Amino acid sequence: MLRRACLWAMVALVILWTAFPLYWFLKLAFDVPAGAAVFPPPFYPTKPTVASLATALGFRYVDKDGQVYLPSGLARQVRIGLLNSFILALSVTLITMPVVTLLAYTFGRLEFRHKNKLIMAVLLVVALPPISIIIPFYMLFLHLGLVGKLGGLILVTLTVTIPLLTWMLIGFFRNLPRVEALARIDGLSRMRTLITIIIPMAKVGLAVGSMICFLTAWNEFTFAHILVTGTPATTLPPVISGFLFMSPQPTQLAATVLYSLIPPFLLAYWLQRYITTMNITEPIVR
Amino acid sequence: MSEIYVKDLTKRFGKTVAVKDLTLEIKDQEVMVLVGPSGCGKTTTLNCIAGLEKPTAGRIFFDGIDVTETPSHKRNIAMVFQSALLYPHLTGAQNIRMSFKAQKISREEAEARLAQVVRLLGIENELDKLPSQMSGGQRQRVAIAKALARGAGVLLMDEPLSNLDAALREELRSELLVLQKQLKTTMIYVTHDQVEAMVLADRIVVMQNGTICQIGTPNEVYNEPLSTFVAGFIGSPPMNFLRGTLHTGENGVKFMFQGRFIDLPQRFRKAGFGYQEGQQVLLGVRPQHIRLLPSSAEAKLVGTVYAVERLGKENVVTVEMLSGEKLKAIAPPEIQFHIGDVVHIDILLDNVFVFDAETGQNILSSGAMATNRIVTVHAESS
Repeated sequence: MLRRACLWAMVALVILWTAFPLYWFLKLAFDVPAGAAVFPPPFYPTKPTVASLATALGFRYVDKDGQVYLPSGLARQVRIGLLNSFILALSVTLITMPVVTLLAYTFGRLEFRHKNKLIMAVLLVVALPPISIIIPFYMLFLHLGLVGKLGGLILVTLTVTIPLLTWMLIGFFRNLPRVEALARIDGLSRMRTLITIIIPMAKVGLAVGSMICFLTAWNEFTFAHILVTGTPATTLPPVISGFLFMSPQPTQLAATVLYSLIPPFLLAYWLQRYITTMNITEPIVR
Repeated sequence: MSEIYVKDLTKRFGKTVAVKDLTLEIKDQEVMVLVGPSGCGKTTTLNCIAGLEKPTAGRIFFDGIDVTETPSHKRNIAMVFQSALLYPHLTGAQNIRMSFKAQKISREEAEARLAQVVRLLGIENELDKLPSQMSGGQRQRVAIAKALARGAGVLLMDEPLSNLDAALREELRSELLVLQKQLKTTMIYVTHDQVEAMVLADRIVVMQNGTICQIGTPNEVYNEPLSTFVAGFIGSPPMNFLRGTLHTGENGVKFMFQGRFIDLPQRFRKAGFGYQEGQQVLLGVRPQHIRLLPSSAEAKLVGTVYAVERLGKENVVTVEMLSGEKLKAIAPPEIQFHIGDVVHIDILLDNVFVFDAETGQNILSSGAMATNRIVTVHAESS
């Protein structure tokens, strides 16, 4: 009985630990600007409203009492950031997934010389902290004129997502049933086997992979911070971090954070049933 | 007609040799079972015949035509894989239809074949199910149906029943045999289960380390094993081997074991049975040819009961001899043996084998391996 009580107490603690900050900014996002200044801070919005959600995006909002909320001065940046983040995450995912499907399939199911060494190379790139390669990239991009360009950021982000996703999906591809022999007897070519048999079989893993890829690009901060901050190509993470130095309206900041959380939330919700069925914890190198 | 001739097949994976200089002829409508422990090269041989592996050296002929370079789907074969391999994202019917993909047959023909295999294997209820929704036996039936739907002359089976429980395995085994006779296909069947091999085979190929130890009918392999390996592999519980020496005595050949002489029967006196005085040999005795007696004047060997396995119709008794060697004997269930009992061991000498201790070759049939080899010369096209 005591054990059970202890267990639940721990669970409650963990939920509180992770969920409370989330609740706190949600509370702020739905409060009026004045509510954020109340001391001691209340545990619920002083006057629940969606005003900050509207003003953070640059809309004027009038509530039913006739109170007028003016658009945020940072709204333009938020809108550009949202749009750029979306373009970045989508293009990175669309480029990464076909490449990674081929790579992970090759590493996971085919035997060739130096395979383990090449897998170790992929792993090494995954293990490399992005910050350690940003300076060479910056110098290179200066010469190529890619600094401050979304295209440049997409290119750099691919160097993170492709190894990461390859590494994650190798084990998944390897655990699929060995149907290639069956397909060969049925007379399917290698490419046709991959497209008509393997990819449909692997759709769960590929869906989860796409999600992880999209979120990695969506959340990518280090490269974006160095390469595109303050330019028209800026993405949402550097925009939000930049706000901290501009003493923003707390409720509008919370609303912006809320916007940045919507895509991950939707994706995770949509794909949650796949995540557990996908085994990505298998060791890769044999 | 579907004859297969494998000539000097060698397959290497990097430095390991999986199959070494293997020559094998499979006759039309024959059930040939390749049997051996894991890693003996039986599956690799099958994959080479199927065209899934490219031989390092050697040729493969189907009906006298060299198919070594022919891709799998253009060979006259169908294959059932280990653990009932099916496309997991396709239903039973879709899986079977995949067999028609590369074949140029009309829609009517395809549907007729589908209907035929469905009827043959009784899988009407599996057609709309995914493999994951079928039971092991059903999945195996669908996999066999899918293979049969190709209408190929040769059916290749790679341990198809190994993942089923014993009862289901026996049921499908006899069904397979009936199907094969009905469809008159040639069948090559790979298994590590010697019982399955004995039941199914017209001829058995016993393999070890990538080479053939013996080819023969189940009877030949069981009654005239060429080596200790074949003798030990075929038959359950396995054959016992007693290490001793051969000597000439007044009544013919004598086997000396632990200081006692045992007279070998008449057939060891025939011409051609060559041995040297004092040659080290292994006496092979099947468990059913050992009688255990509570006490006996004529029995020459004594041991103590080490373990008793009760199988109902018989008991398998393990006896530890004074030298520490262990023998397995089959005893009728009426006789109660207890661990630690002292028993007298009576060997039914009419059924023993003598193997050379060094080479493991059966002394009576040494040289027989050469005559058993296929010497048929094939008209090699090209």
